[in-house]
Amino acid sequence: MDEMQELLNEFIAEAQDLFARIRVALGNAKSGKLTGDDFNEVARAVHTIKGGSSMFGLEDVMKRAHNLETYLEKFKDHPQKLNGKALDSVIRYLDKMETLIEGGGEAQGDTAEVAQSNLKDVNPETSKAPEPEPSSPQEKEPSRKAVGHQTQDIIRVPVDRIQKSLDTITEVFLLRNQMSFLVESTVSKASQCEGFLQEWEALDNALRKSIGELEHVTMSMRMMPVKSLFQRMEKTVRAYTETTNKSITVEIAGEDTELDKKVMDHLAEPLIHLIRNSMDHGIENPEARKALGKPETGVISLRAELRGNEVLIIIEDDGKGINHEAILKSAQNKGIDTSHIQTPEQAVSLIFTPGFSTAEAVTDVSGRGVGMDAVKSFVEGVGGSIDVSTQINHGTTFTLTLPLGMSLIPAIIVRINQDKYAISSSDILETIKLPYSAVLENAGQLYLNYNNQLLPFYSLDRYFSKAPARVSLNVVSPRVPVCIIRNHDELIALSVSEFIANTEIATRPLPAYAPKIAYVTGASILVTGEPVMVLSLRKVFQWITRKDEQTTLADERDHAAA
Amino acid sequence: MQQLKGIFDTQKRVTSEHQQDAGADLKQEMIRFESAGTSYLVALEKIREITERTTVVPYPEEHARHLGLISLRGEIVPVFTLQPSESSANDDRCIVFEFEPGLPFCLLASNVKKVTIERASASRHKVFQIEGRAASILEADDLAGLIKDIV
Repeated sequence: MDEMQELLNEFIAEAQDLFARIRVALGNAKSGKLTGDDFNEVARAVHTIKGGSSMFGLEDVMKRAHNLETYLEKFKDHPQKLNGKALDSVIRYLDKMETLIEGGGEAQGDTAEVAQSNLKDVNPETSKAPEPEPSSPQEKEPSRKAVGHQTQDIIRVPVDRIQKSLDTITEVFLLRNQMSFLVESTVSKASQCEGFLQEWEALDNALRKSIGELEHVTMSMRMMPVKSLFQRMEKTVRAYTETTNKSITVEIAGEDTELDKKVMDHLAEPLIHLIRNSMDHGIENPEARKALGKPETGVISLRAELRGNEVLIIIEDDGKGINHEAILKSAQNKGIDTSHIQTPEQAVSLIFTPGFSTAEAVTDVSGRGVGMDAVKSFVEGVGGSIDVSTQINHGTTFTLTLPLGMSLIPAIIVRINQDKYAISSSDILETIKLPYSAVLENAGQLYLNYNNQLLPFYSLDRYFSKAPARVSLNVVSPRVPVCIIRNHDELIALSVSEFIANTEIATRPLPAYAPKIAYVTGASILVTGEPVMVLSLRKVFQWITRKDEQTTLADERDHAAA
Repeated sequence: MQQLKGIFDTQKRVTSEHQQDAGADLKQEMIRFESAGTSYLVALEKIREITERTTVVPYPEEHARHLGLISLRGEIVPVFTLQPSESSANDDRCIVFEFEPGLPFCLLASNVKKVTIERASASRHKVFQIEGRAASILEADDLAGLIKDIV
């Protein structure tokens, strides 16, 4: 990359930050709380973008920024009057400027001169200021302190440097764990060293705490709120509604939830796919909605929630939903193997099958075909997963479960057959040890009697075994170690051979050349120095279900052939 | 699997195809190793280190030629074998390659030894006689391609 291109890329990144700041400030205008400081922040940012564009010869962007500056000048003495249509026109104008800059400044379609006419001609001297939204007494005077994070000094640090520092912290953490293990195992053999052990433990605890803090601070450098990502999605919807007769509003919640920047970078494309599908094929046109007794304006809701060590990104629309029968038929027409499909949910999941997504499929089956396999690949590529739930005429919800990006996580070390595995504690609702008599069998399916509730029971020993052996209910064993997990709304019981320890592990991605195993989400090093694979029990359960279905089908085919 | 086939085809020719270019005077340091009775030569500079075999943590599912993971002073490295996994029991060394920075991988091997050969390219079938035994050269590209092929 030449120097000029590098500088341009830096400018584009800086401009994106400036657009984000402008949006935060204009967010206050929407609620009638635009202060003089907010206005100045917007004006400064627009001016900086203008200067940068000029420097890089982005003539069109520069002219647009100049036009916007001129327009904003009118509101200088009455910032609170920047509202309604005027505010909308400014936001749309900014959207276009941002798109232009991201595309390297090349104007597509209208020119700066034409675009200028899109800024609503209002006279702030005579227009009315909006009624501010009702607010609590504490909110009446928004202090600078409350929004201090917006004006913090920011330095840009390449992600790989932060990663390097995190890797080093992880190494220190692992060394500390191993030293601790070595000392404890040595001292336990020599009782006269008790005093030494106590002092060691005090120092070790302090070291552990410091490493934890250091890890947390460094990790936080990589974390970013999903706000900017959601705002991009909102922008996509705004641009879409301009070109169609559909009316769609976007509802956003949890936008301050933070996600690893690397994960977030991977997320924009799949989110745009999902949003486009919701707009194109989910939300009906106003007439159709009216006929169904729905409000004419459709709603796409974007939510982010923190759950344990994962972030859930939920994209929900109140559109027509997905017709599972049409999906199944379409898949069969395309030659996709549907022999394992037994439930409507499984039929809907076919949208993620490679080869399903074609324009024809989209038209025939109420949409949802475009790029869904790509979306799934993107999400799984960052160690996440995607689920869909839908109801005809009520809408569709996609839930993306993404790793938070934290490297140190509480985990349970278990043994399955001869091998140890780590399981994130957040994956497990409860660990229990129950007598084998609590395991019941019916029609070949095992169930665990858990608080008088029969949960589907699976023995991981059997599934991970290289020489599979069915669980025998006659096993004379004191107690069976069981992990209770939640898969959607269902509780599942998965047994392991042994619970070994509760600990904290530093997770890393599996090495690039390791085979891709859907339910192995990473690897770590134990205090003994051994590597251990990290399992996602939910994904293990999904793998087991598929495996069982395939086995049943194969058995049925063998039976039929015999 | 094309590269893999190429390697094994080369092995078949070992007994009859020992050739060396008499005119070649460039010497190259190589590592000779064996895997399930077959000898290979790999350029020394392609090898990051050679360690004693350590405990390999297997994957929960079997994958051909993927043996599992090892910890190399805290670094997690995938382990491969050029032979079927059940034939690798006697391999007592881990040869760690790093063709791409930060992406090491390990091959299990036995009878690992540093040798010097005449310019390798002189041999049409890339086969050399080392201490009375034939050894076929595993070019870095072949090996990298082979590993990628397995992955």
